[in-house]
Amino acid sequence: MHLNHKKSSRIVNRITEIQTDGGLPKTGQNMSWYMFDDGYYQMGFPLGGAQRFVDNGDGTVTDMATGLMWVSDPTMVGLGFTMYWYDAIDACENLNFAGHSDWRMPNIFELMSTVDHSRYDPAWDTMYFAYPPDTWTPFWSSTICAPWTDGAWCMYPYDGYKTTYGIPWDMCYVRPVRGGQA
Amino acid sequence: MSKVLAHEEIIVSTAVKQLTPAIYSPTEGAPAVFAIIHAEDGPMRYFVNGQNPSQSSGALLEDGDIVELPSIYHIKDFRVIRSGNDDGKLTVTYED
Amino acid sequence: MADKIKTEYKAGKKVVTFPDGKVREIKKEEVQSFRQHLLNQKTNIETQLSRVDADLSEMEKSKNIIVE
Repeated sequence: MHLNHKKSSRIVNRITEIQTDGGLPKTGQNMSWYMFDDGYYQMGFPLGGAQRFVDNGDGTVTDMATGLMWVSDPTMVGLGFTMYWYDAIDACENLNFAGHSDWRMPNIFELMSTVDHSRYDPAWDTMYFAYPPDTWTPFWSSTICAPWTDGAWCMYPYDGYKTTYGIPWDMCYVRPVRGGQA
Repeated sequence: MSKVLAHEEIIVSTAVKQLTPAIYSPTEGAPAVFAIIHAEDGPMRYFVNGQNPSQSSGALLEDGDIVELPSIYHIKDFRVIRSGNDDGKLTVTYED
Repeated sequence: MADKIKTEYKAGKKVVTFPDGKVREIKKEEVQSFRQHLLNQKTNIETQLSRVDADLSEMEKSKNIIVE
């Protein structure tokens, strides 16, 4: 018989606390075509082959690299249709789901962090995030476009393209988020 | 089949603590041959060779961890101290 | 939507009033500069489109070339 030291399982803590010192998530690109390209270095969290996303089994998904918790399928919480930016913000704020009421619209960095650049149509892992109702209609972010304050930054599901859509006129999807550093 | 001999609770603060000989090696009966330690609260550090640990030196023992000491020698030479700003607590169960 | 935000045009500017009373003014210069940015994007899209079309036409032309 030998000395034995067992670590306790602290998965629950990891999901609600951020344990990183800060850093960017991986882009997802894992094929290298030209030496020193993204696929060569594959910089970003999580390091090694650690699991990035965790399905919480309640319709939410936690990103271990950013500490954010996402609604896996917005259609499941009544957000399966496009809406104006203000209405989308309100819908996220009023959302009560999976035992949490602090849902909000993601900012553009948060939204882009779920993009997997090794995939397209959609540019994310459909094992964790549902296929969008329409791959050509973007998702809203809460970030306003600095040179054009009528515009908010959006992300296209097809390839993770980031562009601005008009707040007073356009209707897009939204994927609520909660958590992360304040 | 071993049986439980005794147990003790130790609050681990800024001074190095050892396990209590009077408990694991009572005047009557056989001494303990095995101890299982449940750690709680503040993180601690330990050595199992009689060496004194410090805030920055020793195996890290965190809330929820379980350490098994498989012999009277490990039990005798177990030394532990608090590693951070909060006291830790050890619940030690001895088997003979 | 209409009940949340009020949009007016006054003195050559666009004035947006929010439900909590905050007012944001958008000046012509901002919008003109962004318009140029949009036009640049349009030119870029057209350039990439023409390259994609050129590739597609080459692929079509090469249909009869057998790869050994």
